[in-house]
Amino acid sequence: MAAPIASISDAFRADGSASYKCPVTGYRVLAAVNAPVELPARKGALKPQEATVEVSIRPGKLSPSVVEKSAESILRRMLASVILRRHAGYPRRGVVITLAVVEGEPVGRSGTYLPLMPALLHSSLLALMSAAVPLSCTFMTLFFAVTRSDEIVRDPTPAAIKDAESLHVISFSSTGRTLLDLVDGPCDLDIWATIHQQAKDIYQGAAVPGPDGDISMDEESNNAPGDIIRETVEDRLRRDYRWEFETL
Amino acid sequence: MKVSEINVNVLPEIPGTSEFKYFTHRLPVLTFTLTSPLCLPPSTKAEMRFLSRLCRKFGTASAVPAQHSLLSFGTGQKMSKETLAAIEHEFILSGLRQGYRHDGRGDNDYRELRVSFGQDYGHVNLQLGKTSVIVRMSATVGKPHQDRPFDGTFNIQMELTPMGSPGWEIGRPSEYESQVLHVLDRVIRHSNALDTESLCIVKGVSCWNITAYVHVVDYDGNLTDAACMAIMAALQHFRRPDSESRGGEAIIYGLEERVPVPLNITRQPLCVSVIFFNDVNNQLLDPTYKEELAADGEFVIGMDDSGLVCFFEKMAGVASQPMSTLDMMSVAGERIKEHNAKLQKALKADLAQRAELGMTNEAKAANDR
Repeated sequence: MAAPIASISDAFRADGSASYKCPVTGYRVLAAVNAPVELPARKGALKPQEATVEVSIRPGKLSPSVVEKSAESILRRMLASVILRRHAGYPRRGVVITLAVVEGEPVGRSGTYLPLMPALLHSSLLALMSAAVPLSCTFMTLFFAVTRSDEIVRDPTPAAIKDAESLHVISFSSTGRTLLDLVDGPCDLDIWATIHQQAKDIYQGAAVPGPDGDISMDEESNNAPGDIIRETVEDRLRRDYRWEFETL
Repeated sequence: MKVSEINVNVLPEIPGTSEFKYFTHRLPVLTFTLTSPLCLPPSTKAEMRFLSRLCRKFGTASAVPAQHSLLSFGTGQKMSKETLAAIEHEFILSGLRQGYRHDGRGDNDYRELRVSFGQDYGHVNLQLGKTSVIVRMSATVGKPHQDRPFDGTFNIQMELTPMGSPGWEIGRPSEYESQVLHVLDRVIRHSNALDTESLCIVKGVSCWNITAYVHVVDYDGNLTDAACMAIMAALQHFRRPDSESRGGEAIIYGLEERVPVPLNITRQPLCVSVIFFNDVNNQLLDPTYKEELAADGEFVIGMDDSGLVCFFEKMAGVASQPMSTLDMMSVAGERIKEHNAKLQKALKADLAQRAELGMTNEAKAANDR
């Protein structure tokens, strides 16, 4: 399994930006964050005590439709719980997150956004960090598919997604909370619990046995997606502060 | 200049503005919108000379569809919500007075142009300096317009999101957005760069709908030129699935079944936007967004690879000098030739790379027509 490719703070104008590519599904998402900004158009909707979070998703080669609206509302609720909206300078202002799917097959009106969720969430997290938005925690997102023979596959390929019985997206915060648990398709409670346990194991860094019962010795495949976030930020910092490190 | 008719309209919505339409053989050739306290047509010698030279130029350009007015002069408000600090404005102007641009370029120099292609057909990443644009193409089968049963459709979709610049908002299209879209529409769509008749599958029943989706990833001025180049590159890079009609039924072949077909591109128009300043006698090409904000006026020239002018519009700001405007045409022609050559080179390199990967070869061998 190839590791995802991410970069941070590439944009010139937006406050924070990131790009995240998931090699298995082929989706590449660009995220831009502007915060804190004034939102003059939504004066009535702004709350005096906290910041308003706005998320918009632009599909690559389709006009935005209801599918994007529903994904946006899921992201908005989750990201709003992570952002410290009452931090000084944030109340009555907006955190505007824009996500563009620039590679990969677009999700149609009848499609599901679950395969895109890890890329959307990880790119928004990187962009939020790049914009120095105060966060209560970081998070990582895992994606599973359950095949017709009740086999659990982590990071399924597009073909496997098509044939899957159910799709699962689980997000854990760095503080150990479950932030998001999305299921698409019918699934037993047992399977759901197994997936949840497996996700927790990956999150805690334990080696998870594969479908054949073997534990993979390949370092890459056991990597939690949190690692890519940390590595990307570290790389960027190393690059930005090279002048300082070299003079030490 | 043979002007058969001059049509003067006073525009009530903008006080003190009148619109002049110049007709030759009953076809509107020039449309002028002038703002003047007296509402007079252009009368100075220089203006008339400019007009006649332009008309001579357009007179030879018979391939340009004449149903659209080719030229419109307008004065109005600057169309950007963004603001520039007074001190920055003064810095840019004082630099220009001493003959320097704030990024060290010459007046007619473009920033570095980088073009790369994605894995899909019609996926173009284009960077012009820090301005960055991604274009993705899509082809769907739809029904042709009732009045044009032999034509497919081509559309350009662009939305300025806060990703490009914090000043842009979602759901509230700015005037700048409609201005850029208008230029792109005129330069690419109305000049018939893409032959829409070749997109017909079954007359009056089904046709290809081609759409170019423009994502502005980063905005550092001159979005019009960058988007125009990116769309033209995408049009030439894109391959639609093969289709044919058999007994009035449309048959669409998958990308694996048959070699996807390139679009029928009749010409390669690009545009060059020029900004100019009131008190500094400078005309600059490829402005950064700060220069755009500091400028007193701008105009856009659209020209195809053979030097045929297909678009000219002066949209905002103070009046420009007619003669220097005309001089700019030749400079713009050179730049457009250079850019077209760069795009062609990038397209060729990408095609060669694809051939090496065996994608085209594989598709070719599997095909018997």
